[in-house]
Amino acid sequence: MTLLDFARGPALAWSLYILFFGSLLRLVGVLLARKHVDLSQPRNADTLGDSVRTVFTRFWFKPEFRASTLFITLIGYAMHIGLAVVVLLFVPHILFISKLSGLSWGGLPNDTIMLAGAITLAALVAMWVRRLQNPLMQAISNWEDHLALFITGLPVLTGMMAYGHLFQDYPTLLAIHILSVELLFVWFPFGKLFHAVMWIPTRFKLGAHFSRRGVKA
Amino acid sequence: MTVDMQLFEKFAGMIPALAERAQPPHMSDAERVEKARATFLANIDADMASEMESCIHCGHCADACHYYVPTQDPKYAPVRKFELLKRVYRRELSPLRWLHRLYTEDINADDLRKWQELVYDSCTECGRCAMICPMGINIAGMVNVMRQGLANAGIIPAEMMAMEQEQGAHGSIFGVGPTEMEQIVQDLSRKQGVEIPLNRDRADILVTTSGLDLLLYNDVLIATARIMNHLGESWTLRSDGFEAANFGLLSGYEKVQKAASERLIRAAEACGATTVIIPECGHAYPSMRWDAANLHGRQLPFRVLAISEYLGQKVKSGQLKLTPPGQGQEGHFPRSLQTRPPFGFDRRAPLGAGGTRSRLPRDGVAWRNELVLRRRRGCLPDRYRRRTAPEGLRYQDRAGRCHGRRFGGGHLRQLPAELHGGRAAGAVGQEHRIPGGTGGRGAAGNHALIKDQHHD
Amino acid sequence: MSDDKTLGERLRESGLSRRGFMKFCAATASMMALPPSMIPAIAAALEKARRPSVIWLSFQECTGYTESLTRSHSPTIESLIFDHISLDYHHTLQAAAGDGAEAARKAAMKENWGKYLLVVDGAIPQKDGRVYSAIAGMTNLEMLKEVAEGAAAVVAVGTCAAYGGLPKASPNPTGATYVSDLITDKPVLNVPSCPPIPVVISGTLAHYLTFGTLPELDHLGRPKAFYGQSIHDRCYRRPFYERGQFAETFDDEGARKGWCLYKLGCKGPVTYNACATTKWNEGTSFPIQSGHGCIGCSEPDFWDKGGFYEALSKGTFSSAEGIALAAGAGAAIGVAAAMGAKSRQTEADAKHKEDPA
Ligand code: SF4
Ligand code: SF4
Ligand code: SF4
Repeated sequence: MTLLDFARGPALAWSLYILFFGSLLRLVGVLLARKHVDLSQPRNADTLGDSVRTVFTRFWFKPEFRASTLFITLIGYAMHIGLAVVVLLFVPHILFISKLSGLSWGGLPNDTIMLAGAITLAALVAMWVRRLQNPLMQAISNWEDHLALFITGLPVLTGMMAYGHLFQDYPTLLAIHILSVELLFVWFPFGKLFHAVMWIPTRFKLGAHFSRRGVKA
Repeated sequence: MTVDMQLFEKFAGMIPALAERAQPPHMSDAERVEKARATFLANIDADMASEMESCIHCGHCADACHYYVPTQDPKYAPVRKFELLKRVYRRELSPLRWLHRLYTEDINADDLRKWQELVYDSCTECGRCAMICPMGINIAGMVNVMRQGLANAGIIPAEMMAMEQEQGAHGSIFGVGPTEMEQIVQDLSRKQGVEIPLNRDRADILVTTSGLDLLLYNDVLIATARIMNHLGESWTLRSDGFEAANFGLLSGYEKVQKAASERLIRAAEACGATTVIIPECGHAYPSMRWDAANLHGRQLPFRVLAISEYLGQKVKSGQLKLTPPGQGQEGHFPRSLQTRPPFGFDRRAPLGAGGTRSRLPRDGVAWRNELVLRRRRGCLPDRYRRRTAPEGLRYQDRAGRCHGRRFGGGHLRQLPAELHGGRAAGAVGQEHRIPGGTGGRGAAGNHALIKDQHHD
Repeated sequence: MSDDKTLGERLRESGLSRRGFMKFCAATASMMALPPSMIPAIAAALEKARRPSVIWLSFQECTGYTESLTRSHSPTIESLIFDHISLDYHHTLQAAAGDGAEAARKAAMKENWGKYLLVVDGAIPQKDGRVYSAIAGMTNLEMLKEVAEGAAAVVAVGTCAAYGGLPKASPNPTGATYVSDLITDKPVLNVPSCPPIPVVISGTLAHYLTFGTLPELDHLGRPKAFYGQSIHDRCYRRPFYERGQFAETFDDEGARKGWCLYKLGCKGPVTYNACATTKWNEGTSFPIQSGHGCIGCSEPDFWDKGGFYEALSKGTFSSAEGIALAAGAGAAIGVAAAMGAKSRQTEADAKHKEDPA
């Protein structure tokens, strides 16, 4: 079995098992946590609309925070959008996902994908530099934060290397690329990358909390 | 309004002495840790669990925090303030606890002591950070649990502990118990010629106040009485339940918090009040409005309104007319009333009336401004001085502006002059505006003095 | 066997012009990535080359390579080179049969001990006492070992010999394996493909004839000269790949326009072979040109890489059940974790309610 076969076969299988096992474990465990029954009179009894709204309004900061937040928010967006483009619009990736999910859609030309990949990497590096340099970020960062950046960046980097046949033959690079994605799958449920799932329930809950008190969050 | 500056200085001078009155509990470090841990565990709910699983350490919350913004000191990053809670959560409750335990440090008594400054002195639980957090994390709520943990571990700042212990033991603040209260109210009523219904057996509205309002900012009470009388309400003040300030909530010591709110509940029930009005205060209101029922164990048989909320409703219904600009008083509302209502966050109709125009940065500026003013008055503990950066002064002017909240078509400061103690806004000194109570609101400033000494 | 004409003489005899010969030498040089200055040397060496003795063993195979070579329409320079070698033993092509054939093999081995080339096509069964393939009472392994012992080098022709090929494909009922798995004390050169391109083996033989050594090999034992680049790297449909233009089915608009066949399962990107450059049938075409994706036949285990019509980027595994099972187990443990957390909290409640000292 070559490295590529290993990556495409058993490693993929196990990484997916772990991904789904861990994600469900964490999500179910959190959602079933003990709830606090609030006996105070709600200002709003029906909080659903506000909760859903909060899930989406948090995609952009409130105007008050523009000065402090704009730059890093844009970098965050560059990273997330770049990653989304690379993951979701590169034809081989679409085929990969369609095999697992049965869904399919159109892709983009490769040079566009490479550009998006480069932007993603640059944004990740910028985020990392900020984490290392900015005293605030230094104070609130731990190894998990660095690991998360690394684990996110690795598939992008190896994917671009495979595409460019850099340093190694393509099958090996492809295998490394796939393995790096699998590393991401494996770590995803256990580290802070899981925010990619948690943002929905957490924002929803905050929306409900504030809506109940009549505050627009 | 008028503040007796001599009296004010006297109170300011008392603050350092407070610490000596505190009677810290004797506990071993192990007991403290176990107490704090149990409190954390008991108070973490599904919302917090979800929040603690979500934080991405992005640091945005720091840019919202008025402790971080002016100081740029990373230690004030809000995300750090609930770290001990998070550590306990990760080690003991998280669905991944078996994994997290491998690399998450447990808490110890030194941690608790270290975090005291962060959760008491460096957070007003204002909730601004919850407004910026991209994940939707309500840090203020968790800081509150942190305080509860520290309180049960006996690690409360001494001044606050003294206040909390006084309220816990005697139900009084600065020595103002039921007898003193009755005395002051009767004197005031006589001197000012304003009728103040005291200890009525039946009343629709129970108005509450606070010890410091009675001692220092008592024209606030007069203004409130004038408005209530003007509106023809059936209202009362009761000496068995008048103290709205709740040092149990501030310190996080739940027992005292409950005792304090129970007093008000009993008083309201005794006179059959359907409404309880809370003077303007960032903590008195949420304590009664949101926490009391939960501590009480069932829904409250009356509604709880902040004085500003009540006035807003009256303005909206047309029962209270506003005078043209320039002739009234300004209202000042604590930030925490905006993120933890009655106020909506920015541009929302907060009082059941018009929208508040509060903008966050200005509010942060107001905080700075406030500190600058306090420092000038010399009543600021050393640890604030560093934070009141010189640039605070620059904003003094702008800070003033954010106090003009809008009610329907007008500003609260346009309240008819005869209702707020008779002084025109123009005569209100800048210095007095912020800490002191202003017309038609209630015991805000009183509280602010003590409270803000503890950053609350 | 007694024929000891040089290659040059033989080629001239069959009517090949000097120009044609030089063209072949040039092509050989370029295929083997040698500088043009080497062409005269190659020509001189080939001109003088004596016919080497070759023993050809066929095990578990389909005779595809022999077919591919012998079905060329006109005699090609490849077939001529092939003719030139002294094929002393070849099941399909030799006239002798039975004991005679075996005797011929023994004689050739004895005569050219240490010098003959052993060419193997087909995989070697290892299971069940190796009963699945035997020749003249000998198992394939016995014969391979016996012949390999006196060989100068071993050439594994076709993917079955080189990597096990179809016989070794899952579930590999005969326990088939490949030459270099069994022969470790001789140089083994792999010429995989199913079947291999004739020019690849003739070029390889030309190299052997010219230099007396085997050419430079890649990590899978293949001559780098022919297997150095992937199909994808030399594919004329590559621009469509880059632009994201893919045939979705074999008869859609894209397929008619000659767009990339990646989505139809083309394994070109991970297949190292010369098809895209040398093509087949004297440069007429190759699979991708005729509208079918590369199936990756020159790579080990190409049968077992998830289906010829499954796009390369798709995982070779798909187990909805496995994932559902993992997710279900996760959810169940999640419930248990939440219950555990709740009981921990109930415990804490009591302690929390106590007064501080
Ligand atoms: S803004 Fe929210 S997610 Fe970011 S560090 Fe602060 S609490 Fe965590
Ligand atoms: S609640 Fe307010 S004071 Fe406390 S950390 Fe958040 S922004 Fe800072
Ligand atoms: S047809 Fe195959 S080899 Fe050619 S470009 Fe497409 S994927 Fe690559």
